[in-house]
This record gives sequence, structure tokens and C-alpha cells, in this order.
Amino acid sequence: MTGFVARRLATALLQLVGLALVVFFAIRLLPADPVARLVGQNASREAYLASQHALGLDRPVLTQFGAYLGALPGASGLLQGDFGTSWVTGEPVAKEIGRALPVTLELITISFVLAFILSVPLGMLCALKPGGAADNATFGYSLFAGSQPEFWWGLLFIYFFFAIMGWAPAPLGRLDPLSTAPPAVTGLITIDSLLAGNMAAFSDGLHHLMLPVLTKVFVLSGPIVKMVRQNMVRVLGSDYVLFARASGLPPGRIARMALKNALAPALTLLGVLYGYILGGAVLIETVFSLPGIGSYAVRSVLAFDYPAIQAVVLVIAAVSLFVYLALDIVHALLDPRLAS
Amino acid sequence: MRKVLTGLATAAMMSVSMQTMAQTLAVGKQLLYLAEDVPAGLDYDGPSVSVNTSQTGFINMMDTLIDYPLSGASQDGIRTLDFSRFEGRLAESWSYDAASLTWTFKLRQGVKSCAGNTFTADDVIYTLARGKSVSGAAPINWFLASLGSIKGFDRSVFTGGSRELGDAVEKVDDYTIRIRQSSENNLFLTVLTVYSMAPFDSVEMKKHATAQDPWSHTYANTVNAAGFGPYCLERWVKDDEFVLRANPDYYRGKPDIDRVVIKRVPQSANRVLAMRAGQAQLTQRLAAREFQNLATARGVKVAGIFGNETLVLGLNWRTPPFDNPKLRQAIAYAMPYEQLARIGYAGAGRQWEAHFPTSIAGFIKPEQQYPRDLVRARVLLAEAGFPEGKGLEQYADAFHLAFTAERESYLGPIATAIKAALGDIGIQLQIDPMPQTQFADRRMVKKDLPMALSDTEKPVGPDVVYATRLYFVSPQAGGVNNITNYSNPELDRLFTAAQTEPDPAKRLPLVAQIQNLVQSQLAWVPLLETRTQWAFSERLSGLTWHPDNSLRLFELKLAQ
Amino acid sequence: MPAEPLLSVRGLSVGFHGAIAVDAVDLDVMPGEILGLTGDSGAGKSTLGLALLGLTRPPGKLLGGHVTLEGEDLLALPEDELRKRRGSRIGLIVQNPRGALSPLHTVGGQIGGVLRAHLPLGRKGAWQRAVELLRGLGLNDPARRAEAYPHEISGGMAQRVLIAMALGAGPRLLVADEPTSGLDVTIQAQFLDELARAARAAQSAVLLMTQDLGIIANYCDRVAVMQQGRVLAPMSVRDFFAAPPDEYSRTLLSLRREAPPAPPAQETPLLVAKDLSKRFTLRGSGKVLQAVDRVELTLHRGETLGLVGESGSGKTTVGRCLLRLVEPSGGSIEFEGQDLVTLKPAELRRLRKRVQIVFQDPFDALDPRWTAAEILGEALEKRDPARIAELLALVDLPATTAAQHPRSLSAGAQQRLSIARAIAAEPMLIVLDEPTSALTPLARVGIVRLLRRLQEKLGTAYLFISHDLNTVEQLSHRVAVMYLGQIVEQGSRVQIFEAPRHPYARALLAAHLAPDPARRRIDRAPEAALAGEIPSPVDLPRGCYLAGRCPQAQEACRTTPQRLIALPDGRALRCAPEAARAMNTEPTLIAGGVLT
Repeated sequence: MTGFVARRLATALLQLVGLALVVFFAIRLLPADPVARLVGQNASREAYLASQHALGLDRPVLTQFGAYLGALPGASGLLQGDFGTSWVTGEPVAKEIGRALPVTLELITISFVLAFILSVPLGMLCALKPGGAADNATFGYSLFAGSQPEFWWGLLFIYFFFAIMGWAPAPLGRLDPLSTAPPAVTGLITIDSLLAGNMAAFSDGLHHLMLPVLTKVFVLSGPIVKMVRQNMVRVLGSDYVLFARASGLPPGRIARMALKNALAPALTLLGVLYGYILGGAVLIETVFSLPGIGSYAVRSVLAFDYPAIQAVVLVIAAVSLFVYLALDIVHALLDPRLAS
Repeated sequence: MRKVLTGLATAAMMSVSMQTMAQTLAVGKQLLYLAEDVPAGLDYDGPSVSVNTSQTGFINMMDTLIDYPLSGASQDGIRTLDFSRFEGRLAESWSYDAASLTWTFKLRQGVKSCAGNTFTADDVIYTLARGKSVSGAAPINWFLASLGSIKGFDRSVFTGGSRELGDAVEKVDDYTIRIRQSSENNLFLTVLTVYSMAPFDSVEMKKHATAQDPWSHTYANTVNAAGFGPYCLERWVKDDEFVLRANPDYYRGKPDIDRVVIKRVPQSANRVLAMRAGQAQLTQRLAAREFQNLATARGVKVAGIFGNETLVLGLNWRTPPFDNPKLRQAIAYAMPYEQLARIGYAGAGRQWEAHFPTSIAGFIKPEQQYPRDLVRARVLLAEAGFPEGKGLEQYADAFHLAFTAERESYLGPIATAIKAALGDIGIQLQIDPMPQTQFADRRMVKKDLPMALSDTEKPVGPDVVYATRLYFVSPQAGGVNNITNYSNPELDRLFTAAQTEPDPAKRLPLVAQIQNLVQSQLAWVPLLETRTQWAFSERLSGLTWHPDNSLRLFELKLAQ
Repeated sequence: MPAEPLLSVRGLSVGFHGAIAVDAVDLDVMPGEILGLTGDSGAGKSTLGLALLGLTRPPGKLLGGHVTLEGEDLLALPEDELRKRRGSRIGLIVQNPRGALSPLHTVGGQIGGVLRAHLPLGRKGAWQRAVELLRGLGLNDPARRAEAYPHEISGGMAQRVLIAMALGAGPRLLVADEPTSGLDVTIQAQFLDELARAARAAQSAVLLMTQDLGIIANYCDRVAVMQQGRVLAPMSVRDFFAAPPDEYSRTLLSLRREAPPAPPAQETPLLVAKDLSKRFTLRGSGKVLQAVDRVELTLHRGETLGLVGESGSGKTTVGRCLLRLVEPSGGSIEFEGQDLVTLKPAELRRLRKRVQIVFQDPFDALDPRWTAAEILGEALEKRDPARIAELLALVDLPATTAAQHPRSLSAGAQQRLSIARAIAAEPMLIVLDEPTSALTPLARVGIVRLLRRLQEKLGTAYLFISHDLNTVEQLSHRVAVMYLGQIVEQGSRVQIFEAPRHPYARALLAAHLAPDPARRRIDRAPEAALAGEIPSPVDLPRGCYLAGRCPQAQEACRTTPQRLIALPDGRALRCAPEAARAMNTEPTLIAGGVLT
């Protein structure tokens, strides 16, 4: 097992290195000019050159790459853990990502866990009685939930639960705008408010998380239920389940055995789903005014903020790779065929 | 289950509102201002200066030396300024010596910054020295200073000339300074009203200087705009919120609203919802239809003004056949102005009958007008040598109408309407949306877009001469942003004369001539003047339009 | 007094979407007996087996009938009660052992699970019981083996796990559905021995379903035939083999009645392989796998040499080396005066016409996109419809086959087509690599007959590689036995099948289940069997490869490499002690009957 983990970590590291390379050169191939954006109205040649120099874009590409890596003397770069400073705000990119990433991770992880907790028993139930009332209802729901894009559901829920029913707060961010947020330790509102003992902020944070989490769970559950159900049906039709029945095992034990077999292959897919959701988070963040990594990524790309783009790509990739690895480890623990 | 949820929700809301109440009692009046973004940086010489919402940040934290007085009139409830006169802010009074081209300013005493420092001449000197050092990401202070011909602020700083302030500014005593110009230029005072000439609190700034960053750009951009304005920064979470607290020692009196929370809510629909629910008191930049929608909401007012927001169709003079004047006129007569206002701005716009916003100083309505007249358009097209559009095929590459893809929601339908309108007279057109940065690059740096829709021409100096220099003067004569490559020596001459004419009576006819000239030549094709609108609570009053399109929070009053 | 039947089936029917798979079956199983159930594939045996437990494979449905076990009608019980009886009163062993085990749970855990479902045991107690069961089934180090997962164990061990699960709770009746398919010969015999012994010890009856008449002959007391969902009345085994009641069984047994093939008059060497070796280097570990170890073979014109052995013996690799489908690592293959190993590619190609091969799985060996005519045409190098028709007739395929694709043909017909392709070029030698293993027993009979006929007609020599000793016996003139890459014994068919000398050959032939009730294995005292299982072909010892398992192993065996020794009666034997014994007794036999 340690060999397995070590190998995967080494591969992940190589992948990140390759990614750093690719993204660095790829964005410099894009046709538009970040300097022009900064220079704005003031387009005299000299001003343009001055700005270009301030951004470091007048140096040859390889020198820029060296600076990016931190291989040049005197400056720090990736090798020293420095992601550079944002061209839009002038702040260290690492700090900005450290602020934005936990927002998204909090939302996605809570949604994922809830979706999982709800979907797995539901999928199991549907598979045990295929064609029954629960199965048909769930099929209808999953078609329905997947029929509209996520942000549409978000807007609909806002309209219904906030504007009409008044149960949810205005979609103005993670906390009520006029309140004070607890000091940021991890960046996660729930944890930070508990650490500060600020129960009001904790409940406010949960209250504001209600709708975004509901939207994500609503949409996520569809594919997860389908996946669990499909795997379960396949497993329930397998030879070993038939043999278990022939051996007289109680139905509860058979269901548990079947569930373990059905879930193990689904785990890898869940990891991929998580990575995919992470990338698509910007839509929900925009709808609910959450300052997460998705919005940050989009802002960076639209502003051609090279250091931020490079850093965001690496960070999101690293998070995804980490999640894949974690799930693969769980998978290998569940399924001994993989560890060998 | 529903009961549990409702119970939970109610409990949560109660605890939150109790907390809010507690804060309100301690704080005084609070304003929740919902914006599409919050300031990304606070240095007006920094990378975020072109971001509109960043300007709102430092504009409300720093004061300029002079500004425009209230005109006493208002449009639709929004107060307007009188651009023909100046009023002192951090400067009390000033005088001019034409012989030595020197302005002498008497500075106001007893002005305290948020850090507790007193405003003196040193702050002005520091600010201009910093500007001349062009050490920031974007040299805006230098740029404005060069437009006002302050001595030493010219291109030479980039081509090896000195970056020291030198004798451009002379300190007479703690509250008196003299600023020298390099040439006669009556845009000087106009330039001083712009935010990027606002003095820094030099004591505070110097505390944060480092060897690599002697002018504290990092501090100014990422931490605080240290100035002498009415509001101080309480809390700033990038991409999330920006909270200002009133400066109790502000020289014009304590602001009525004690605490302003600017919250980033990128989805305009959410801003509408929050306004409707009464949770926020001020918002801006909604879609035209959303403003219409909100106007009917209880407790909410929507008001707007024709300020300096316009829509322009730029035809590049260097791209044939757009150097053909009759063709240009044909296009102008063919434009469906009323339709464009309707479909792009839900009626919050009108045909722009000049090349300059109606609101600015020196404005006259030019003689030559271009009301929609398809017959005339066709005649002119034939006179141009392209009867019914024949012969234009060889210029197919020129007839690509470009615009920023990010604003396609309203520019898209406008472009389509223009395409249809030109199609009516026989001109075939292709629509070419492109990403913001690419558009900016081609339009302002390369200047090679043949046809472009643009709504970012908002001269921050509300003066015809200023705007002329910005948009219509050729680069050799000092033009800056001539996006259509319009080059007319006659205009250059008129501009130079107007800029240096000291007598206002003699200046007015020159200014009128400029306006008539560009209008008759169609330096660009002016399409619409659009309303700058806000949606705000009925309890809020005092909104005033400034040429930088940022509200001065100091001027707002919130009734209880 | 007539005993009461343990299990009494009346009118049992199972249907699938309208088609009837089991058609009103009546059957009785007596206590303690082993009842065999045979029939062609598709007759419904597996479905019947499941139905006895009240189960069907979806979408099948039980249509009616009674299954009375010790007085209770199982099918009339509520599901709860029926579940309690499954495993505890009536057990099932299925065909694919590893498929029947959950891949994510240890085998010990799975056995324990079944035990806990029926016996009042805790987790620990059940585990210990499971380990005991495995020990009783002949596994050494059962405690460690019980912690293995299904993918880590061999087929034989998996089948033993299934026995443990099926018998663990002590059912009165065990239904065994093709329990040994896929197992090696010796493992099969071991397994069936254990099954019979365990059943006898527990006084359970066994319903043994299989198509292999050898198993029926050697283990069953009575046998019934199932045809298209119906079961014919059971009869005693001797009566069955004396006069089979149905066409299918008669056909299967027909070959045994025919005379074995006569060897050719003259023995002219056709192919002589000397010192043939093949080594594979394993990726990753870098270890060397000696697949073929200095093999010497001689094939004469017109004769069949049977090459037998179990998995890992190297027999398939030998066949491929002869055609240079696999490049030999050493040795020479002399064929018609030329050494095949050193031949240049162009000449090799020409020679390929004279040596052909037929593979195990006909479906894989035939191009699915071509018609039969095209396939044969390729072998003929031109499409000659007359010759194609002739070939099809030779292999007893109808002329219409020419236009068909392989997927439209049955497995047996596909194999015939492969054979037709092989003989198209009129080769001198055909290497047949397990040609009947993928076929049903019925199809096997046809292929064997065909091969015999073709040899008579065309005079082709065969190298017949197989682990199915029955077919080898029916086709071969001479036989060579391989173990772990070496030929351990070689001789005439009669010598090898009647009186093998090498301990491995002996064990192999003893495990060979001939469909002849006269010499039932179950009635014989168990011979000194080989211990353990076939070891891995990597890391072979210095001395005799069998030394670790051989009951007669001496000290010298473990250290001295064994050579192939030629005996006076024409055999070759790779066992020094046995050869010595053979030499000593020979003169006595020749002398006329006094055996020492």
C-alpha cells in the first residue's frame, strides 16, 4: 500500500510540473495583450512600455519562465513556493487563493457529502426493487434535475425560497453583509466561527449555505443515484450474489455485501465528479455572490492576469489530484485487487 | 420536517437581525451598497485603476485640491454639477500668473486624515513627485499632469529624461505652494479635479516605503488609500466586500452615513431581489430592463441622468473605404437611433446629436445633424461611388463590426440592428464579437479595428477641450486616445488655440468651431447618449453625478 | 425395505419469457447416494439445480411443482423459511468457482458468513470453523489461506472454498453443477475424491450434474439423463454404460466401442526435435521462466503423437515452437532434412505449407469478417470453388457453409472449418493444440472421428496436444507426458495408458477418469497421490522437478538433475529410480512371467 501511495504521489508531482510548464507557455500564446488592459486610456507608447516593463513582459520568454520557477537569483518563484503577485490587485496570488479556495471547498465538500449520504441509500433502495414506486420516482427526478443547468436551479430556488417564502437569506454572500465575520483561520466560515466561539456567525453561515448547498445537492444527486443504482443492479445479478442466496445468507448481509461491491468502482468516478464540480463552481458562486476560486479563476482569465491564471490552474489541479488519490486509496482499501 | 426547517430558519434570522440591530445601535446609520464588484486595488497609479469599482474606493477616501460646485439643478432627482466654475476642496484659493505660467495655491488648514495626520504642502509635493517617478503599474497621475502641461510631466520621463520633480512645484510655506506649467494650457484646473491628482497622506505613505518600493505602491494598492477624504477603510475582503467608516474629523463635516458596506454581488438579478426586499439601499449597473422593473417596486427609486455615457460607432479613417466622407455620412443617416435606444437600453437613451456629452462645459449643439433618413443615406452612398452598395465587395474585410463579447447582452442586439439598417441601404456587414482584452488591444494599442462599437468614451475632465485632446487630436499635436485615427490639421490648430487661449470670451467660439468641425466630418459616428442610472431606497437622497461616474458617499443622506 | 427418498421432485417447471427450460421434472434422490445428471448443454441442468433451491436466474420464473426435502415442500414455504433451509439442508456448488465469491471479502470471511447464517457461532468461532473445514479439504496452512481474497487463489482452491461453504452447515443434499470444469486432471480427481468423502462422512446425498461421462462412471451410483427440459428415469451406472437410454449418451460412448487407430506400417521419421528449449524472461522481476526444457521428440509419417500434461507443462509452447510461431531459445527441429530453427524467413514460409496448426478456440482463429470460402481460399492461395467444395466435404460440412461467416456456425463446425483450412495445403504434419477443449463432449466425438478419418485418408501426421486424456487415448499411437517443461515419459499408447512408470505419469493416469464403470476410482483405494499442487514454473529446483511432491522421492532425486533414459521396451523415462527398477524387472518379464 505504501508503494502504491508513493507511486501515485510521484506521478502527481510529475503531472503538476508538466502542467506548470504547459500553462505558462500556453497563456503566452494567446492573442490578446494584458498590458493593453492595464494601460487603458493612456495608450502612449512610452506608457505602454513602462507598464510592460513593470509586468516583466519585456523580458525573453525563457527568462520569464525562469523567474516564474524561481530559478533566477534574487527573486523567488514556484520552487520557493511563491506564486507571484496578481497583476490586477498587486497582492500575492497565494494569499488570494488562500482566501478564495476554502470558500469553494467548503461549499463543494458539504454538498458532496450530503449528496452522497442521500443518494447511496436511495440508489440501493431503487436497485433492490427495480421498477417499483421509488425507482420510477427517482428516475423521473434524476432526469428532471439534470434537465436544467445548475445556475438555473439556483436562481429558481432563490426566487422561491427567498423572494416568495422568505425562508432563505438574500444571496449576498456567505454571511449577512452588515455583520462582522469571524477572523479567518482556515477560510471556512463554519470552522472559523466555531473556533472563535461565534455561534451567531456559525448559524448565519449555515443559513447562507442552505440554498447553494441545496442547489448543488439537488443537481449532484441525480448522477450519483444513477451510478449507485446501476452498479447495485449489476452486482445483484452477479454470480456471487446468486451463490450467497443459495447459501442461505440473510438478505441484510447480502445487501451489505452487494453494496460494498457496488460502491468500490463508483469511488473513482466520484473523484472525477468532484474535480469536475470544482471546475464548474463559478456558476454557483456567481449566482450566490460567493467569492470562491471559480470566480477568481474567471476574473483572472478575463483580465489576463498571468500569475493568477498559472497559480489557479496548478492549485485546482493539485486539489483534484489529491481528491483522486484519496478516493483511490479508499478504493484500494475496499478492493484488495487494486493494491497488488 | 418543514416545521423544523422553518424553526431553524427563523431562529437563525432572529439571531442575525439581533446582531445587526446591536451593531446599528452602536454604529449609527449604515448603508448597504450592492455593486458588481468591489475595489481590486486602491492605488490610482496601480493596476486596478481601470476597474470602475476600484475608483469608487479611493475616490471616497481621498479628496482633490479643487472640484466643481453643485449647480443647484437636478435631472430626475440626481443633482448635477456646474462645470463652468471651480470650488476649493483641499485648496482654499488660488491665483495664476500668466507671465511665469505659475499657479499659486493656498491650502486649507486643519484637515486631518484617517491616520490623524494634518494636510500640508508636503503632501502635494509628495504626490506630484510620486507621479513624476512613474513607478506605478499605470502612470495615471503623470498622464493627467501632462494633460495639464505641468512642467516636466511629458514623454521625456520615459525616454531618459529626469524623473525628479525638480522645480515644477515650489513650497512657499506649509500651506502655500506654487505649480509651474511648461506652456499655456487652460486645462490645468480641469485636470486638478480628477481623482488621480488627489494628494496622498505623505506621512502615512512614507511609513510603508521600502527600498524596492520607495513610493509605497504595494501599500497603496493592497492595503489602504491614505488620503484626506471623508471615509476611512474599516475592512476590505477582496472579491467580497469593502467597508468604509466615516472620518469624524472631515473638514466639511461628519458624513451623514456612518458606515458603508459595499458588497460584491455579481449577479444583477440578485441585486434586484435584495433591493426589492429592502435589504440593500443602493445599487448600480443593472440591466436596462431590471431598472425598469425596480422602478415599480415599493420603497425603491430608480433615477438616472445623461452624464457622459455614450455609444459610439468608430470607423477607422485609415481603413478604406472609411476615409470617404460621403460614405461616413451615408452610414450616419442610416443609423436607427431610436431602435438602438429601445433594444439596447430599454429606452434609457437618446440619439447623440454631437460628438461631446451634453453635460460638459462648452457644449453647443452642432449645426450639422444626422437624423435617420434612409433616402438621404442612399443618395449619399451613391455619391460616394457605391450606388446601392455596389463596389463595396472589395472592402469586405473592412465591414466587420467588432465589440466586446463580455457585453454582448446589449451590444449584440445593437450590432444586429445596425447590420440590418445598413443592409437596408445595401451595405453588407459582419458581426465580430471579441474578448475584452483583445478588443482593447486592437482598439487602443494597435488601433486597427475597421469598425467598432464602443461605450467606454467617458471623458473624466468635463470640458470640450479636454475631450478633444483625448479623442480627436492627432498624436503629433498631443492627442492621446484617437481611436479612429482621425487626423485633421485644422482641428489640431483649433485645439491648440483653444487650449492656450486665456480669455474665456475668445475661447468659446473656438470651442464651438471644434464641435462643428468634428460633427460635420464625422470623426466618429455618435450613436446614443445613455442614462447613468442608480436604484436606491426612498430614504436615500443626495445622489450627485460626477464625471468619473462614481458616487460621493459623503453627499448621501439616509433618512431613518 | 425401500428407503424413503431424501429429495422428491414432482412436476417442477421453470420458464423464461415463454420458453420452458425445465419441463415437469420428476426425480428422486436417495439418502447417501451420488446421483449423476447428464445431458447436452442447454438441456436445463443448471436451471434445474437452482430451481431445487427455489431460485432462478432472472428473468426466469418458477412455474410450478413440488420439491419435497425430508417431508417438507420447499417451494410451498415462505421465503424466510426457505432461506433458512438453503445452505443448512440443501447446498449448491456452482460452475465458476471464482465468480461465485465476492471479490472484496476474504474467503475465510465468506465461509464464516455462511456458517454464522446457519449455526449459532460468533465471528471468531465461525472463522475457526472455516479454517478447520479448509484443513479437512486438504489445504495445508489453512489459517493463512483463509485470509486470501478470491483473486489470489487458484481455481482448485476456489472450488474447495465453495465446498466448504456448501457443506459447512451440514446439508442433507448437495447439488453440484459441473463442479470441476476448468480444473486440471489431477486436481479434478482430488477434488471429486474429497467431495465424495466429505459427503459420505456427513451422510449427505449428492446430485452431481456434469457432461463428463468419465465423472459419472467413476463416482455416481445412479445416473439420469436430461434432454430439453425433461428428465429420463434414472438407472444404475452399470446399466447406463451397458445400454445408454438416449441418443446423446450413445453417441458419446460410441467412440469407446470402436477400435483404436492402428499405427502406420512403417516408421519413417518426419520431424525430429532435439534439445528444444524456450525461455521467457518475466518483465518486472527479471526472472527466467523455462517453458520448454531440452525436449526431444520424434514424429513419424502418418502417426499421431499425443502430448499430454497439465497447466504449466509447456506442451502448447512446444507446439508453437515447431512452427516457429514462437522462436525457440535453443535446439534444432529437423524436418524433411532441414533445420527449421535456422531457416530463413522466405524458406520458412514455403515450409509452412507442410506444417499446419489448428488452435484451441476456433472462433478466435477464424477471421470473423470473411466467409468460409474466403478463409479456405486464403489457405489455398487462390479461390478454387471446386477444391473448396472438396475440402468442405472432407470435413463433413455442407456445401452451403462456403458462403457463411464463422459466427453463424456452431463451435464444432468452426473447428471443422479450421481443420479444413489446415489440410487445404496438404501438409505432412498438423499440430493440434487443444482442438477439442472448447467444444462440448458431443462435438468432441465428431472431431475425433473426423481426425481419424482424415489421417487414414491423407496420411498426415498429428502432434495432438491436449489435457483431455480421453481424446488422446482415442487418437494417439504414441504418447509423451510433460511436466514443467520436460518430457517425463514417452512411449506407446498402450504402455502409457496401461502401465505408466513415471510417478507423475502414474498420478496423471490414475486421475484420468475413463467413462468405464468397471474400474471406478471411488471404489479403489486411493493411491499414493502427489502432494500439494503444481509449483510455479519460475525458480525450478536443481534436481527432479517432481521431488517436492513425489511419494517415492529419495535424497538423490532432489539434487541430481534427471535425464531422459531410454528403456528397452521403447519407452523413454526421466526418473532414475524407476528406470532402474524397470531395467531389473524387464529380464524377468521377458524370461516368462516370474515377477520380482
